[in-house]
Amino acid sequence: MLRLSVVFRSSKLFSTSALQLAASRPVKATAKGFKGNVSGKKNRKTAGSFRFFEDHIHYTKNREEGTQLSNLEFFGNELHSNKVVGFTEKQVQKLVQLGAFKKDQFNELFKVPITLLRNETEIIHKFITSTQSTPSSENRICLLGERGIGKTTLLTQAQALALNNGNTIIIPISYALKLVDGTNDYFYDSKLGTYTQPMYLKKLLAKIEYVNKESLQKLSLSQDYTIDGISKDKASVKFTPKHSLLDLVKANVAGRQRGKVFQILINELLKQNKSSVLLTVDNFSALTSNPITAYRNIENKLIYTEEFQISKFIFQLTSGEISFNQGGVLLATSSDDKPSITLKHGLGLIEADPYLKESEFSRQLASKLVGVKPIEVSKLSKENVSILIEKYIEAQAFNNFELEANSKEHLVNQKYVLSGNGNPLELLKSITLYH
Amino acid sequence: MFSRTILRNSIIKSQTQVITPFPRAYLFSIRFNSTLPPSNQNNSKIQKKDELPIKEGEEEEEAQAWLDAVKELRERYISQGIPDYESAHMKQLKSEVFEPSEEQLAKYASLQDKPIPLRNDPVVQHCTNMVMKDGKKSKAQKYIARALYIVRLKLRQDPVNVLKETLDKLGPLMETKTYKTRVAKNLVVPVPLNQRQRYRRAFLWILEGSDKRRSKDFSVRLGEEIIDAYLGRSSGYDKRAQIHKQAMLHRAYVKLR
Repeated sequence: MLRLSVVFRSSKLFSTSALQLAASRPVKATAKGFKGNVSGKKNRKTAGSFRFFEDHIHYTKNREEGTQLSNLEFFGNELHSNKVVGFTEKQVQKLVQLGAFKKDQFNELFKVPITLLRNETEIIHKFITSTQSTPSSENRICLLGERGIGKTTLLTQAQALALNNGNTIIIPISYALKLVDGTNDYFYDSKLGTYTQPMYLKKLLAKIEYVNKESLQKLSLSQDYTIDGISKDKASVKFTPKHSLLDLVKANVAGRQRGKVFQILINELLKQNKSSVLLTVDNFSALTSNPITAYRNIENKLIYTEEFQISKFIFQLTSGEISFNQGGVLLATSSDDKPSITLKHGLGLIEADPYLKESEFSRQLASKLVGVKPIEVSKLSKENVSILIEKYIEAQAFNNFELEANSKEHLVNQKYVLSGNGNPLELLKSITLYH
Repeated sequence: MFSRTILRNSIIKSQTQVITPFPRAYLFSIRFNSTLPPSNQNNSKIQKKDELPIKEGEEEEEAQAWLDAVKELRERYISQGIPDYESAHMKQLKSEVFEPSEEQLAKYASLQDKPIPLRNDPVVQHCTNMVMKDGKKSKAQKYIARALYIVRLKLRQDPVNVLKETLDKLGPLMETKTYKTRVAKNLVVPVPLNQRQRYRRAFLWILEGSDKRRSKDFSVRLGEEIIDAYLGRSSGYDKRAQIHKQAMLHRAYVKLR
């Protein structure tokens, strides 16, 4: 039997044509999905925060449990240098919307964010007062300095001063890298002749609306405007001189038309005389370091910075091509961006090599920065460090063993050296992240 | 023999193309100049080079005059009986030496009792070393510092004290060790742990607990786990209880001397 079966099997192997010709049974498709864990172990991670360190300390409600400093004066119009002051609740609300407080500033130690009034604060104060009366082409400043020296903090102080005035409209670009890094949606607006970024504009217009509510309400439109709907079925939005600028900013407009709304807003602000306009750009060096953006056109070629509506508007203001009747431009560089010759040549700090490539040095952008006044932010003095340390001791930011082993004078000397002779960020790190 | 072979090779190399008229045996009997004793003439020349030639010029005269003057002055001072005639020069040397003021001396005396403060806390340093991988200490320090900052923000206390307290609470007091008797069954003996060993086991449990947390940032996971352990919510406490239980079961084997 065994033999027969073997023969039978072997004889069957010779005729394979039937097998080949036979239609295969259709295999039922099953969704396998992404196999993340190959080993088969179930690794459930449920407890705790999902955030990274910077986000964790910034977003969790740490500030509510922060220390309330005693005898803390608030940031007003009296600005004596070498003094630590806190922002009022109203200021904080608006400054948060402006994106003034960054994640690495260790503000969560205090109930109210604090700031040190320095020598540069006086310069900023003078600048803000001059924006009230003189055109923006005469008030153009760029803050320079090493990492953590306090450029963004000074920008915040300028914004707080402008908010105190009550008659200043702030246009905040809190992180200019967002304009060029390719993270936003964009399209070519043929009517404007520029590329627009609808989602970025939506956020920007929301910020402008929230911060400048009172000032925008006072200003009315100078002429009629009609903004088309998304499709033929949707009604267009009409604006008349009865409407204020706040109505324009608040209007629920399709993303495709948002560029036009922003353009109308800028045109109206350029015409008016009632209030001053302050443009603040943080991380401005992102624009000069990346003259060619990460965005591509329909021919798959990279787009130049100035072809974007917002970037073009910024450079028009920095060059003085357009100017608000009263206002100013305040730029702050960032050390996160690669150092660019474009910025330094534009500000007149160095002379660029005439044989440099376009990728290394953008002549076009550099020419738009002529006339902008560079301000080099200096390091903190020992007195400044001493006053800051007092506040941080009060906020219990120091370790007990450090306080027990050293006198205050000792601590000041130690921290002054550890901070690289007065770099504020390094000072804070040496206090908070030293164990 | 060795020198002979070298010699022969060198001669053969130098005369490869020239056919020597001498027989081979004659070649080996040649004596070269290097082996001869040096001549007296050459030796004398070398000796002259080593000695400095005495020049008779203005410079020499001036130097001699100076030396004479110094000698004369010294003799005069000795004859007049002036003591320490070189002290003026010595004073100048002394004035450069640092002399502490009274204030500084008092401060020095007051600081004598106090120990030199440590740069880092030893417990924190121990934990840092446990976190460290591949010898990257600064990275480990960054993780620990950030974790402790999170602890400070959440509890508003000194995080180093919190860490110490947590490790003290969590660390087991005893551990069981197995000894092979080679005769019958193995002996399980409870052994007490010192502070460092206790802290080590406690921190390992904290690290184990932190791995089960959600954040991709290690410092956040660690910080949160330390907070939970401080508040008595860590899974390490169960492990501690289990170890203690085992030690209690085998308490009969504790050797007391």
